[in-house]
Amino acid sequence: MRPFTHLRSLNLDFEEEINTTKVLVPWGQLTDFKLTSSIDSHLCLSILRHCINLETCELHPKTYKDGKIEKYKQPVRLPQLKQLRIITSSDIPAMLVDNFQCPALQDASFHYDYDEERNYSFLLSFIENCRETLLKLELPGLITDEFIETQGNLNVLEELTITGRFGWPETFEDLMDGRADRPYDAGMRAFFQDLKRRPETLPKLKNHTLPAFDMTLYNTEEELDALIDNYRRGLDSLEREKVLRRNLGLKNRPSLIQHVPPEVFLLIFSMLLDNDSRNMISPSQVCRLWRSLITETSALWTCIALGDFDEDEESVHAHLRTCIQRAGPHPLSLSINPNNDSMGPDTLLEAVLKVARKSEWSSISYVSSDITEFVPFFDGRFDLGQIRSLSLTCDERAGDSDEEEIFELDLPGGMVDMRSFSHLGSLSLHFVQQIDTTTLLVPWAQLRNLELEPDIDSSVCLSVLKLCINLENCTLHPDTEGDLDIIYDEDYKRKPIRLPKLKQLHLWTSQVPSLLPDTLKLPTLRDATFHYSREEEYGDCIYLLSFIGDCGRTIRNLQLPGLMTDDFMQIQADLKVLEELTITGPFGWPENIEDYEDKKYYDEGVRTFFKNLRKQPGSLPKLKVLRMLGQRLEEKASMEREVAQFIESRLSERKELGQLKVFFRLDQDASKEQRERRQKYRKWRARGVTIDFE
Amino acid sequence: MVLLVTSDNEQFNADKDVVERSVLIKNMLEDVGESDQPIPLPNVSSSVLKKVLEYCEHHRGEPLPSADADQSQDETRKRTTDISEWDQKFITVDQEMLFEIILAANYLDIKSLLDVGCKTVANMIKGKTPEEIRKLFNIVNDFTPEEEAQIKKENEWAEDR
Repeated sequence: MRPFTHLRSLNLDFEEEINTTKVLVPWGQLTDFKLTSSIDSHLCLSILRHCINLETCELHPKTYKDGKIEKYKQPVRLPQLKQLRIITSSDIPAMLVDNFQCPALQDASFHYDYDEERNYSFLLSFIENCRETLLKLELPGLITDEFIETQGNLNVLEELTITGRFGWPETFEDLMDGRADRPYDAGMRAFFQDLKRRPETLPKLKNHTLPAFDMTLYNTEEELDALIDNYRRGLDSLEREKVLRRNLGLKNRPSLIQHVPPEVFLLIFSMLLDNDSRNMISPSQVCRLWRSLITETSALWTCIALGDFDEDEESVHAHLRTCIQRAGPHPLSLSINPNNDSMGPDTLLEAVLKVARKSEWSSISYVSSDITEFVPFFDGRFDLGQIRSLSLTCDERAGDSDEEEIFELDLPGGMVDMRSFSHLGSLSLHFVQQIDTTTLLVPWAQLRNLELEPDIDSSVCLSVLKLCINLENCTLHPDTEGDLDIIYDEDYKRKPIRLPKLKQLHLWTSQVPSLLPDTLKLPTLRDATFHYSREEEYGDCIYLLSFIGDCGRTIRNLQLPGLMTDDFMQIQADLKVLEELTITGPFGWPENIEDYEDKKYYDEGVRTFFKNLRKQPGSLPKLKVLRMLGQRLEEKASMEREVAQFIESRLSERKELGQLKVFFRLDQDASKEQRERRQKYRKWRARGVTIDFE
Repeated sequence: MVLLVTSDNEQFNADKDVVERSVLIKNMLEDVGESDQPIPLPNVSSSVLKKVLEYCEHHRGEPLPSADADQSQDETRKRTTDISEWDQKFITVDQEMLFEIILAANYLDIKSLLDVGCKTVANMIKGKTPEEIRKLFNIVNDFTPEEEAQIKKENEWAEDR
C-alpha cells in the first residue's frame, strides 16, 4: 500500500489473518490505525514499532502466546498515542501492554474474556504508568479485585467504564448449581467498598456507568481543598515540563519532517548521496522510520567510493559487502581514489576484485596521481566485463612529473587493451599525456559517450571518430594547430565522417578547430560547445562557421567564444531552432598586449555582435536564453547598453517575446544607475524578459 | 486568471501560466476546461500558497521538467544540492514553513519547488551526526539501547578514522 503516500488513517476490518511481513504500508505516517484481523501479539508489536506517529489505535490480537512474554521484550514507544483500544476474546493482552510506552495516552479500553495466566499485573502496571495522562478508561469487571490498588493513583481519570461481570466462579459446577452469584457479588462489593472507604480515590471522575455511585456526595470542604491541591500539583507538573523542555532544547513542536511522505524522504536522501553511499550511514541511525526507509531502498546503496579516507582491508570488505548486499539487484557504481595510507592501490584493487565479480557494475571511475596505476585496466586484469562506463583520471599534470607517456607502460604487446569491457558504453580518459590511438584497442563502435582529454591531433581524433558510429555525446581536446595546413595542402581531400546519433559535441582547443568541422557530418546535433582562446588570422573560423550553419536546423544549445562574434552574423540566420546561446570570454582582443585595458578593442566586438542581431529582426526566432560569461571589466558598460538596445528592439518586433532570459555581469562601478535599471527591468519582466545580473 | 481557494478559505487569483507550473492544477484545468469555477486546494493554507505562488511567478515560463526526467538510477546519483541564489533566499524560512512548502509542492506536483525544498533539507542534514539531526528536527530516538549498540557495530567500517 506504499502508493498511498498521503495515508494517515488505515482501517483493516476483517477477520482473516494477515501475514505482516507482506504488508507494505507507510506505517511511519499513520495517525489512526485499526486492525481487527486477529494476529499474534508479537506481530502487532512488530508493526507498531514503525507507527511512531499513531494517535489512535485499535487492535484485536491473539494473546495465546503471551505466556512467552520474556521472549518478546521489545519496547515500543508511541509518543503521540492518545487513544488505545485492545479487544481480545482470549487472555489478557499482557505482551502488548508490557512493551508499550505511551506517555500521552488519554483514553484506554481493554476487553478480554479471561485471565488464565494471572497476567493482570502487566495491565495494571501499564495503567499505573499512564496515570498522569489517562482521562478515560474501560476495563472488564474481571480485573476489579486487583484494580483497587491502582485506582487510588488515577488522579486525572475523568471517565471509568466497567464492562462484564465483576468476577467469575472458579469451577463450571459453581456456575451451574446456582452458587455463581457469590464471586460476582464479592467483586462488586470490594470495588465499591474501596471507593467509599477512600473518598479521595478518582478525584476527577465525572462520568461513570455505576448509577449507585455519585461523586457529588463527596464534595465536602475537605475534598474541595483536596481538589485545589490536585490542580496545584497539576500546575506544578506543567511548570516542570516546561523547564524540562527548555533544558532539552525542545523549543518547538516536533518537526513536520516526520510527516513527509516516504517518496519525498527518499528524494532528500538521494540528494544527500553525493555519489557515496557512506553518506547514508548517519541519517540511517536517526530513528526507526529513517532507518527502514534508507536501508530498504536499494538505489541509495549503489555508490561505492573507496580510498579517499583511511580504510583498512577489513573496512573495505565490510564497506563493499554492506553496499552490495543492500543494493540488491541494482548495478553498482564504484569510484576509487587511492589516497589511502593503509592500503596501496594494488591491495585496494585486489580487495575490489575479490567481491566485484559477483556483482553487476554500471560504472567505475578511477582517479590517481600516477598513470601507471591504470595498468590493470589496460592489461585485462581488471576484467569486469559488464562495466558500462569507465572513467580514468590522472590528476598529475604533465610537466609536474616525469611526463611518462602511457605507451611506455609495461603492457603486453605495448597495447592498451580494453576489449574485455564488452558492455562499455562510456569511456572517459582524463590525462594530458600524448597517446597513440593506433595502440588503443577499445570497442569503439559500441560507445555512446566518449571523452578524451589527451591532446591528440585533429586527424587522429577523426581516425577514432570514424569508428564510433553509435556515439551520442563527445568531448574532445584536439590539437588543432596544424588543421589549416592540412586543409590548404593541395593533396587534401575531404573524407566526410557521418555520426548519425551524435547529439552533443564539445571541442576544447587553443586555436579555432577547422579539420573536425570540415569533416564531421552530424545530422542530429543539438548541443555544441566550441571553446578556443586564439584566432591567428581573420577568417580562421570559416570552416567552423560553415559547420555550425549546416547544423542550424538542429542545434538548440550553442556555446561560442566571444572572439567569434565578429563573424556570427554569417550564421545567425541559419540558427532556426537555437534556444540557448552562450558567449564566453571577451568579445575582442587587442593586437598588442599593452592595449589590453583599452576598452575600444572589446567594445567594437560587443557592438558588432548586437548590431548584427538587431539588423536581422527575424534571426534566432526561438532564443530563450542569452548568456554572456567571463567578459572583461572594460567591456561590461557597453555590454549593458547593447543588451538593453537588443531587448528593446526584440520587444518592438513582437508584443511578447515568449520568454527570454539574459544573463550577464555588470560593471562594478555601475551601481549608481541601479534604480533606473531596476525600473527598466521591471518593465521588461512584465513582457516576459528576465535579466540576471550581478 | 485562475481562482484558487485554500484550506483556510482564502481566495487567490493568479495567471494561468503561473499556476500551471503545478501539474495538479494544470491537469485540473484541462479536465474542467474553460470555467470560472474556483479550484479548491484543501491541503494548502493561505500562508503557504502565497509562498508557492511567489515561486511560480519568479520561475514563470521556464521549461517544465519532463515526467521521467530523473527516473533513472544515474540521475539519482548525479543529484546535487546546489540551489540558485534567488531560490536560496526564497527558501530561507522557518522549519515549519519549509516542510509546509515541501508538502505543498509534493501535493501540487511542482517538481522544481519540491527539489529546492528537499535540497535545503539535505543541506541541513549533510555532515551531521545522528544526534545532531535529531536535535535539529526534534526527532525522538526510538531505538532501544540494544538496537543502538547493534547498529553502531554494523556501521563500524564507516566511522571516521
